Amino acid sequence: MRVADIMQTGLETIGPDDSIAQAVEILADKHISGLPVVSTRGQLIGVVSTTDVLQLLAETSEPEHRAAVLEGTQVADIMTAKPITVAPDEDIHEAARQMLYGEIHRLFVEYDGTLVGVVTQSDIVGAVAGAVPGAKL
Amino acid sequence: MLVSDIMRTNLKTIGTDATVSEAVDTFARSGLSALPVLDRHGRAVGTCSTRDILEAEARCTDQLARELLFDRTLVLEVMQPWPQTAGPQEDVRGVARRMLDGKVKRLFVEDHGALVGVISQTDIVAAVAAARV
Repeated sequence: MRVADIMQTGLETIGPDDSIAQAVEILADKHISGLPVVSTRGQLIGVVSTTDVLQLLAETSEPEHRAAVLEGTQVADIMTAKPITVAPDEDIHEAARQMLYGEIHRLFVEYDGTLVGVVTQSDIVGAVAGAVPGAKL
Repeated sequence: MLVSDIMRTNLKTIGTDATVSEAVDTFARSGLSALPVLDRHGRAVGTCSTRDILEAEARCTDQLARELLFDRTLVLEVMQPWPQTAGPQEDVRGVARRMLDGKVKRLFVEDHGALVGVISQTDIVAAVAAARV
């Protein structure tokens, strides 16, 4: 089974100059844990996750500063740059290995330098759930 | 493959009377995304995830509300009720289906009412990576 068979398309994205407050709104509204950061030309340049936001909040000891920190911090300041990507024709066992080695929950899928989708741990779990007993994925 | 083949034991937990701020510290230090919440008698009564906290934070409209959330709100107030659990002898495929249907990243494993472990989507991905599935 290939990544293209199980990946999700039509992704929400955010820009590097947007605020973390905007990122939190999208993460909470869309119930997602990671948001791809794309340049104005649509190239994937990073990912900002709920963990990144919680780290930022944990580092802000004064509660009265938290709102200002969320508004005043740009996505580019805390995003993970250059996330690991995978090709759509990659085997899903290899994608699973890359997730484990990278300790990440999602791999963005790039084709010809363009972000075309994402494959998450849930997508791989979905493949397991739908597997025929005894058959290899 | 059975749940007991890939579940993890030695769970980290948090108490119902911990503050949200303490939970944030625990998440940041441990790298975990959800914790079982135990009452003062050691019974599992809920789960608290990073998502629960971020969603509560997103509902805060001003600085005061945010301060109240972090320093005056207990885990008990933001946690989710104790969820559906898995059994150690269940087949992993069925558990994978239940995780997706329930939109959860993990199922705690109970054996005759006792909390014995947790199985997460990451554990299933690891089984795929090792070509065990």
